[in-house]
Amino acid sequence: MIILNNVSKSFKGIPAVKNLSLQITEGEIYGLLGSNGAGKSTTLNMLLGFQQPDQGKAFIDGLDTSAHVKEVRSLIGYIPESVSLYPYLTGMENLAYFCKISGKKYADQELAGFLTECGLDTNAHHKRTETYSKGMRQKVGIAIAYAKNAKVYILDEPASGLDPVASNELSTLLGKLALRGATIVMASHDLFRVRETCTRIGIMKKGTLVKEMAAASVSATELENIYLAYMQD
Amino acid sequence: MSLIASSIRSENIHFKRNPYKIGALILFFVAAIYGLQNGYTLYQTQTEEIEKIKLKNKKTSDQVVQWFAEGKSGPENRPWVNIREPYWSLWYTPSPVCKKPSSLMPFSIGQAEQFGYYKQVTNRSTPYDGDLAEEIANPERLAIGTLDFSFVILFLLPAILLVLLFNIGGLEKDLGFEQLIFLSVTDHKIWILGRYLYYLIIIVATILLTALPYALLTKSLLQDPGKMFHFFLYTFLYVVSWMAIFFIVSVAFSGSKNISIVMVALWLTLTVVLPGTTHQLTTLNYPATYMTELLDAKREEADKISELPKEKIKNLLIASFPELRNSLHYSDTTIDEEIINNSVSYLVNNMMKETTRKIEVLHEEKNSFIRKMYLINPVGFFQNKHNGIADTDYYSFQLFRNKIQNRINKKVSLMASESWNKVVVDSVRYQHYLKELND
Amino acid sequence: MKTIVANEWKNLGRDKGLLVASVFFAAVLIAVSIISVKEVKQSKENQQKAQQHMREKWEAIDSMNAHSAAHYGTYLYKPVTAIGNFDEGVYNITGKVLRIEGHVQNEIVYSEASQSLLMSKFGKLKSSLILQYIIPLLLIFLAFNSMSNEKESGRVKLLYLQGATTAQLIISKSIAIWIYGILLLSITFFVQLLSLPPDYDQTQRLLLLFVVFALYYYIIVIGTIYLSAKLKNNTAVLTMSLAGWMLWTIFLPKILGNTSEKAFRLPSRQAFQTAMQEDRAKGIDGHNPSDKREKELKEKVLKEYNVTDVKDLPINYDGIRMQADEEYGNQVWDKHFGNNYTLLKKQKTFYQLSGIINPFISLQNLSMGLCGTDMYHHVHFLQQAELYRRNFIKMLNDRHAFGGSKTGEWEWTENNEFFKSIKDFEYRNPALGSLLESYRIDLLCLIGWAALITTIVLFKEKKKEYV
Repeated sequence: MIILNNVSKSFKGIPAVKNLSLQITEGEIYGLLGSNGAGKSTTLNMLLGFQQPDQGKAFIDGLDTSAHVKEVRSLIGYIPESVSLYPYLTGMENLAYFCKISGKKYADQELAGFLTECGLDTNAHHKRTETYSKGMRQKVGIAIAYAKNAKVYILDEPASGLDPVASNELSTLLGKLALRGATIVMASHDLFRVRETCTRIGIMKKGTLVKEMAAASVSATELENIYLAYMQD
Repeated sequence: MSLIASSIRSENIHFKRNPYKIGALILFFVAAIYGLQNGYTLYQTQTEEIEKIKLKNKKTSDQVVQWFAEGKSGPENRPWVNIREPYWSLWYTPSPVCKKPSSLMPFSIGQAEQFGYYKQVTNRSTPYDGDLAEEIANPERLAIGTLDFSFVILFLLPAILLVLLFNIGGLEKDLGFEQLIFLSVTDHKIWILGRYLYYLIIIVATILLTALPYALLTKSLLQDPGKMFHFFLYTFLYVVSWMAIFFIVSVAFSGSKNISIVMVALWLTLTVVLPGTTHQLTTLNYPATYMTELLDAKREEADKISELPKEKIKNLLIASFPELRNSLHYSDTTIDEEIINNSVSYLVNNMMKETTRKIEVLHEEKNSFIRKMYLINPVGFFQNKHNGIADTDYYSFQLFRNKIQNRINKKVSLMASESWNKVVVDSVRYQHYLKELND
Repeated sequence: MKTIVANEWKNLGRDKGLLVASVFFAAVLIAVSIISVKEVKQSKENQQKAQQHMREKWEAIDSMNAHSAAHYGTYLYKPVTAIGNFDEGVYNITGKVLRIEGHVQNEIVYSEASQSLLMSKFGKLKSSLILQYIIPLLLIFLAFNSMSNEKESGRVKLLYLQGATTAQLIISKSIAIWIYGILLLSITFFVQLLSLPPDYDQTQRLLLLFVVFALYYYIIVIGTIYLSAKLKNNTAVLTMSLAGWMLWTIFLPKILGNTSEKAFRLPSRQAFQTAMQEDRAKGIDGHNPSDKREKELKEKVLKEYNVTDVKDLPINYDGIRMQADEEYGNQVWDKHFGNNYTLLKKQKTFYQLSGIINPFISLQNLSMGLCGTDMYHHVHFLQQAELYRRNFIKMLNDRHAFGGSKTGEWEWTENNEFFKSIKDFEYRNPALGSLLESYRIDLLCLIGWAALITTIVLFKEKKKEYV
């Protein structure tokens, strides 16, 4: 579903991503680990079409992300570190608004269904999002992607700032989406959450993918040791 | 005290690394120079124009002196003129009244472009004649107004202060380290005050730096040090007042966005809305006068006096100008109609003076209302103070009108007394007239 | 786009502060319109009273020599237009009273500005002051963070992923805020329309004025939102927008106005009068029979009537001489006033062209022009008044010449009926068509600005994304 083929990207001559090649298949949850400036966000931005690779190509569902920005984006759901919604709109209204912009019109019942499926309590549907917690906003963010029928979910530091319960809920929700065939890529610093949620893990350092492994093949402590070993080199 | 000093020092770094603030100060500097130059140009233009008038008048008086020398009675194509008669001699005595621009004009043009500043006085003049209209100018340009130094101080400076001060205290809130400041400084307000003081020093220095060269150029600093001091004093008070207002805003509001919105709202209210409201209310209470009474007096009442029986005119003249009792014509048993005709302007002038006095009273009522409105229009107060000091306000032109009236009085008195004394004018007497009717 | 516009409206509608501000502005706009209408009504009544008073004086002339009546003259008063209450323009600055008499073209005098201390630098609190200065600022405050907020919050990425483009976002958000400006504008224009007497010309002008303001608001809103998309953060957008507003509204008009005057210098009054006097001296002096040129005229008239002495003429030669003097004076005035008018027009054109860099100038020009309070209307009034003066004096001189008296009969008088028969001055505004011709540049500048920013947004920003 996602293919990165020898992709490189520099900013003002400083390389952010170097010859990155990666393949993620349907139903997989891929976790990108790395310190600040490792190139995780640049990789995600290239997948989102916000940045074009200087070299190499990125494909989603067979479409070049640089050449078919519009089509690629119609397949993607994006959940940033902190989902920012219109505070003066309710959860339902926010969802309806973002759906309408992408050309989809749903009945209120359907919208409520999406929110519920993404774990938002029914009582919160009609409350303004200015009263929402970060976790609740993230659920609306996922509902937006879900309502869009996204095949690919791209998450940038999704667990940052979430309490353990919300973080756990997020893992469960992503697991459910993957089971339904969604491809998920998440960039994170949280080793524990990545190991819990993802099926495969990649470690990036200075723009290069230095290590890839199946999440199930390592324990949390082993993952931490591997990560620290790479970071100390 | 050390907090203030350290705040001032640290603000220097903030200022030097903020291109917007440096740009704002440069804009203020350039605008101040531009405004001063505009004022100085007007000062020069008016001074030159007055010199031209003097030159033109000199030509006229030289011509008359030449007529006397050549034994002529006047211009060849006007045979009815006889310059040996006081009436015609005085008619040909240039009597200009000029409002010499103050050396402080470069600092505040004020209402100088809305009034005439020179007048050739005749025995039929009034201080409200049509030839006292303002200089020929594009009315739209006048309505838009001139960017003079006073405008730069009263209107631009608060806006510049806004740019310089809006993020003091606000930036820390925007970037989320406001609490850190609260914990680090002993008194948050003193910390803000110190930073404000830095800009006060910069602004005052810029004002002095731009204004002083012009004060030296026009010699106002040497000739009118008192006025210059007052101008700077009001300017300083004005700057401090704005800083005090903005200081309250900086302390009371947080976040540079909120602070800037409140500052802009205050600036707009004080410089545009309140003066506009005052203006509108004043016009509603004191609509512009169409001077009908003056026009009637000038056109009809004057004629009525001229058409009175000569004896009646003679008696009226004696009653209002008792010195005529000592004249030659007073004791004449017959009435010399020409002498009476030549002195009737004295009575007309008296009547006109009464009419113009009423107009001045009416205007003064309006001005008194405007002054009362200073409470809600403080910018208007400073504006008129600046104009008053630079002799470019309504009252300076009222003084000019008074000067015109005095010159008219002198001219008609001379015309009457000389005619009644049956003076035969010669070159020496003409020089006396010139001396009497010129500054 | 409709969805984004609707969402922006929801945002505006749910902002309680804005709601309070809107009610306040609406109330102020209504109050200011009503007060201005009242003031203009009062001013019109005073003007008509004064005009009527002078007319009564004229019609009360019982018996007077025709040429003496030319010296007696009359006074004309500059009228205010019905929509003059919207924008005072030059009305406060220019004189209001013009003396009409023989031999001389007087200056229009007694401006309101010369009758008191200075009160304001931006004029009275009229609808134009609020709509030109304050509402655009309000629109800037509403618009400055509309894109930068999306960027700073990261929501813009979501919007792009949902298929929205930068152009769509800017245009939609602009339309939403622009509609708000239009609503405020409508309140003023509604009150103005209600207060307007049934007058097709004035209604047309008012409607056009609405369009002009709407165009300017569009430029302000879309410009600010464009900056909001381009610049890094809210503070930068606010600083730049405010700086732009100050430059456009407060400083450039003054600087460019001054520059136009310096580029095309008008003569000083002294120089103007001296030049007029010099030229006038080359013509006939109506009151000076010894004048050489006058002798030539006399010869011509004597020859025409086949007599040798003016006393034998069946007409009054004095009237002919006075009219000849008048006509020469008119030529001199036309030449010199024409020169001044040419310079004024050049200054105006220069100022109008500066609308290319400052659309506020175009708005200001059109606002004054359509309200009938601009320089063109002022000059139009002076020209109409001069035309009236010429006919007025000609009627009197002709009567003096051909009314039955003989040369030198200065005691000959005309009766009241004759003086009454001379029609009073009636001023009519120039037609809207000719006015628009003079304001083509301003209209084009405003349309050009609106089109240019829209084009930049639609095409240059089509593929750009600000994340």
